[in-house]
Amino acid sequence: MDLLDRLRLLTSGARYDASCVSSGSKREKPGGAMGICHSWTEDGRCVSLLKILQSNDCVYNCRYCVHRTDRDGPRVSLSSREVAELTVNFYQRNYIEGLFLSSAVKDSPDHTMEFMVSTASILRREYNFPGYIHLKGIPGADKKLLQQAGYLADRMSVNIELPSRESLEKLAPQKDPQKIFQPMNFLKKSKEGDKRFLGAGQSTQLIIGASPENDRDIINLATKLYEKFSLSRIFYSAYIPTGDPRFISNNQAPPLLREHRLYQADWLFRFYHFSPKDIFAPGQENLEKELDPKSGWAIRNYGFFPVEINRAPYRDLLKVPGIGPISARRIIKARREVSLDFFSLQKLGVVMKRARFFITCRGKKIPGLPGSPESIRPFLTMPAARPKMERLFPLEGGEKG
Amino acid sequence: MKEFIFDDSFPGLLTVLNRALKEKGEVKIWGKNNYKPSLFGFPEWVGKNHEEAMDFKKKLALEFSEPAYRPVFYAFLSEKEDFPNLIFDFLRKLKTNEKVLDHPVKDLEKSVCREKVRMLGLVRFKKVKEGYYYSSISPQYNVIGLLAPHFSSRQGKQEWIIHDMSRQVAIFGAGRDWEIKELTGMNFQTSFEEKIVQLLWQEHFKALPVPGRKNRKRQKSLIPRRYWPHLIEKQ
Repeated sequence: MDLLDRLRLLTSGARYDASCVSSGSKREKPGGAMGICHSWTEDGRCVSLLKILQSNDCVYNCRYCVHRTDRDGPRVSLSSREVAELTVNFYQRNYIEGLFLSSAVKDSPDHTMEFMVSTASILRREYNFPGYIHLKGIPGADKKLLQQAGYLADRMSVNIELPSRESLEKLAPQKDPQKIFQPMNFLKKSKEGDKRFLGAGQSTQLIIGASPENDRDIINLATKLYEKFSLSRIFYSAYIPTGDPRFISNNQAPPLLREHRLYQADWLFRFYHFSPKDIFAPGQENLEKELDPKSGWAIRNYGFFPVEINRAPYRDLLKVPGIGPISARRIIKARREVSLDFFSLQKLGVVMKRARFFITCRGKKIPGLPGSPESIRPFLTMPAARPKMERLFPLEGGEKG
Repeated sequence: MKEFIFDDSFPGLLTVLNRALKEKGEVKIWGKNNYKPSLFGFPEWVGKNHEEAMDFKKKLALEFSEPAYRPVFYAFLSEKEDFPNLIFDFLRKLKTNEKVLDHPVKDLEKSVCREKVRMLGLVRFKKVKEGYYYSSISPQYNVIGLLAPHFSSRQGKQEWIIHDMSRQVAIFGAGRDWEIKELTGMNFQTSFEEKIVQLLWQEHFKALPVPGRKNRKRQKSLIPRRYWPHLIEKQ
């Protein structure tokens, strides 16, 4: 089959991997700036890497996967040289920042890993490729291969995919759950104290909605994974119904909102100093659909507020819905110069339509706003349910609406 | 009112700002190309003086209540109408410690910075038969000079050109060196190999989106249509 057709097949096979980042590498290189978006696809995702499979010819029959053995469709591969040349050609033309290489397990884990290592090795050794390389770690592959991969790549990921042992046993019967954690552990150990090894660390992916785990299970698993394997990122990927209909219901639309809420929760414990028990109320199993988890916490803990913008420490500012790490830092910098009022907050990037309920400036709240947690709630939920308010600052008569 | 007129160059702007800030009363600064003579205005011509401009550049970094060089330079690059007077007003406020948090110059700085970052990703080189890499762009602001350092290290030993079609200037880069020159048109031939690479990129781009997740509105907000003409994947 000609290159164009194989490229198409192996691109469409790789698109279920949610990762698109090329940032975070500490590897020194000419060209330094990473994390550049080069284009945006029709599903609104940033393109910064050539994301592609080395092969879609798989020996496994995982029920959720498009590449499972009992599924029809052409089985193709790209040679290591083909992938390397595509990457270099695209990189030189500034289409991409690097390569994201994954693969179905062709013949055996060792064979597949070797295949990808050889691609990365051609890139680095023959082409002196300075760009970003992400390689998939294949569970069951020899440690020597994983180690070689770790010195060639900026980041690796071993995908867990299904968030519990039971689901893995049911939907991926040929995979041994323990074998997934072995390479993660090996990569973590090899990275310790070695700057040349995986400058951007390792990540993993969890599929959301193919199996019955609730959000609480997933977030608990995620916090453990971050801790145990020092992961740089976990990607949550809404399940797109392409699985085996005998095992998975394929009638549902991909749970995109659920995926979004999980990312919000993930951000809360990585950048906002929340713990998983802050994210869920006692007895709560899933994140609320209508309300983002941070607003949910703020309503449950209304007694924590209001936060005084001109005095509160960084961590308290972060607890306010509508204030993130960037705007919190800006507030701290700006208030050294002047005492801040509500209008200056908007300029600093604070989302006032959420923050206004939870803050004071110079000891004063914005007058005329509802004051009980339950009456605030409708203003923070999704657009359809939100009552209209004439102005952002009802009694201030400001010119900004 | 004291009126000044300068030659539209950046060193010229720095020179004229230096003079204007010594005035106490009202000031108006004209760029040479936008000057509209009036009956009673007699603007003083301020030619660019490189030494004075360099001195003033140092002052911008150190002698104002916050580092002021970047906002001034980026506002200049924005080519926004009346930018010399906006910048003058901004600097005067800084000098007297007035609030500049939401000054228009700050907004211009932000917009120009955003355009620069965007262009770092949107430049598309074509390899031409003559052996160098060529890219045409039409950025909203005059950011071409801001792109040069990034590409001069990124492109390694290649020879490359980034051509701003609307302003008719281009950066010529080779190895570690680069310079900005005027450039109207460019004659080159696209090689067969180049067409294949473009075709492969288009095919890759088409196959990327997940069918169940299309969101054109988001795509358009992230990459406005005015950038599309130069993007190979959008042809």
